[in-house]
Amino acid sequence: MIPLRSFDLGLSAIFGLLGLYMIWQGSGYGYQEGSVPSAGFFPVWIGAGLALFSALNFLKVIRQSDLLGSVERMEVVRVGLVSLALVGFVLLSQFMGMLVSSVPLMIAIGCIFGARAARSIAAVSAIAVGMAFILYLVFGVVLAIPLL
Amino acid sequence: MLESWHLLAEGLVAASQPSVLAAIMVGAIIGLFIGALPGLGPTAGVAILLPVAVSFDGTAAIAALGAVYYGAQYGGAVTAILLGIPGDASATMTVIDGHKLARNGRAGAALGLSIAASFIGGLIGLILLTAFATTIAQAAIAFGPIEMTALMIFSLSLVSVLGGRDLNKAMMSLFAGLFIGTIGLDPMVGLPRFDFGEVRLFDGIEFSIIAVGLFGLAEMYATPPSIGKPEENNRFRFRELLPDVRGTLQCWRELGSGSLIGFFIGILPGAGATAATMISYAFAKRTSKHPERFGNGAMEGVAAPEAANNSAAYGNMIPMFALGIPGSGTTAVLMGGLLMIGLQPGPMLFQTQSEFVWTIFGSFYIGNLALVAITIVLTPVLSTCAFVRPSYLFPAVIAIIAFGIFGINNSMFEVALVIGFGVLGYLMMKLDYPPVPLVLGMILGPILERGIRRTLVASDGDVSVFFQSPIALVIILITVVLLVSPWLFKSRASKEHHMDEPQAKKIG
Repeated sequence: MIPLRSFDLGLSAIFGLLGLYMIWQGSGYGYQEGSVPSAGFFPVWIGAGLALFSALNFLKVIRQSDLLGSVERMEVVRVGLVSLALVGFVLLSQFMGMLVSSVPLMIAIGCIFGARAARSIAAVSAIAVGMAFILYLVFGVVLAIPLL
Repeated sequence: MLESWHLLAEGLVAASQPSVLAAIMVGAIIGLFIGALPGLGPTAGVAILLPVAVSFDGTAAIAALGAVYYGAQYGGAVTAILLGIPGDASATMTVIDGHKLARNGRAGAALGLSIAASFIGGLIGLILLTAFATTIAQAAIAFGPIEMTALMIFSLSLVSVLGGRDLNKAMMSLFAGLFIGTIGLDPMVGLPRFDFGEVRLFDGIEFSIIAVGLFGLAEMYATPPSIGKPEENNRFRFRELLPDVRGTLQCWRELGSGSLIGFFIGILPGAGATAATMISYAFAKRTSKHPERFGNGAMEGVAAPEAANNSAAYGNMIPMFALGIPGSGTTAVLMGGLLMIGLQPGPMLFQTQSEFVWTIFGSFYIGNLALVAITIVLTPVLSTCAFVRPSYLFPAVIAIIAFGIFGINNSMFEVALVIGFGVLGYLMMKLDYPPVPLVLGMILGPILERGIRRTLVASDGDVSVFFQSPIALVIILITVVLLVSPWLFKSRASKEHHMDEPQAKKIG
């Protein structure tokens, strides 16, 4: 089990830094021109709000360690693996085309979500091939989208 | 008011065109399955299908997305009753008595009642939507940019206050959404902002990328692979799935109260269908002659939340159509669909695109009626669908997401962005950050920025213009009270807690 507290602290820190970056970058765009607001006006205020609430949340999580529970390690691994499979699809599509790349993507996702036995993998593979054909019909033929 | 019904009649005729009818039917059936399939709810369903639907004709696309929305509300009850797993948060209350009924061999009675409640709730919601939408839109036309800006700030605050358990996190989510809304060219001077040197971000981030990532992918990431595996006592015979007409008729009071509560709670931005189902359930229990039956398989315990759930779906649409301010995740995604087909929701939509609006409303009536028949016919199939394993379902859905997102701008870069927003959505879900304020911030942020800057340009930078309009002033004051009150209540509660502690020690 991984405690969610560390994730919350991390996300608050990232959002807080993003808020500070917005203030800095927004000031660079120009806060005001004469008496009227410029391109940086809105980002500066949003950045300030984001930084403020992130800091408040960060402090709250530090003070109250029992606010959130934990998440199973396998679940986090599953999120990482699905994301990796999708990144693989994005990269493979450039070389093999989207339709061909979608088949290993779907099989990989099926396996990540529990298809381990040979029979299940065979079923997922059949679904993947059938789905690739449906995707070709819907996106390639009906919607005439130029697929990679 | 009479004019609304006349326009609705014309809308019904327009919605009967074959292309719109086909869109309604396809959308309703897909929605029904999305609602019934474990791990996907209405918001995820509408978000996933958004990029595909907008590729079709505008009216048909929105009619189909609307049908997915209310179709999923119907279908959500199936998983809640048969599996005891709410497909969406708004089906949580249905689980309490619905699943008990199913376990007692009365699955059909619960399912039949949920169909009737969904229809009646939907119908009452639609009648009220027809009656109020134009009136509210007409009143809102009198609002100038100052009042609309104040109203937008109020709505964003309300969504943040009501939308999550932790105000800090809701506000972080809102500001993160406002940040995403600033990415791209500045709306007034055309200066690129927060593009990180990436030309593909000049036009900003496409709304459907955020919606699909936060609601679609994140939902699947968080779904355990074991969901959908049938348990021994979750198997039903066909006879058990047949509806109980007499039991349904006996719940007329709960059907009525649930529908009305659902609609009026649904109008409030941020409150949404989940709050509506909880309040209607509590109301039904409090006013019941047999409150002890609730929680043990009471038919009324299914009728009230299901009617409220569906009625709230249409109540939710009032601020979206009439004011251009979506109050929930699903209506935010629907509004994204309207923006993607080039329509700006708000009071002017009823003036400039009257035919479109009434055709869509007409399609809701047709879809709601059609769903009764479709759901009854498909109930045996839907009850099997509830047991589809994620290992078979998710590969297909994720492939649809990838192709749908690619299809918007023929860009793999956007597919890569979806992956990032999926992970962000998963983290937000796990850490209790409500995603709806983020989506609303992203949609309303650019409109709000334009409103504020234009007003300040017109007033030569004088901020006091926002306080010179009485309507805007009242709205701003309510917003301040709304934002401050949770902290005040919290500090008061904590003071009382500290005062009670010594007394408790003395007593101890």
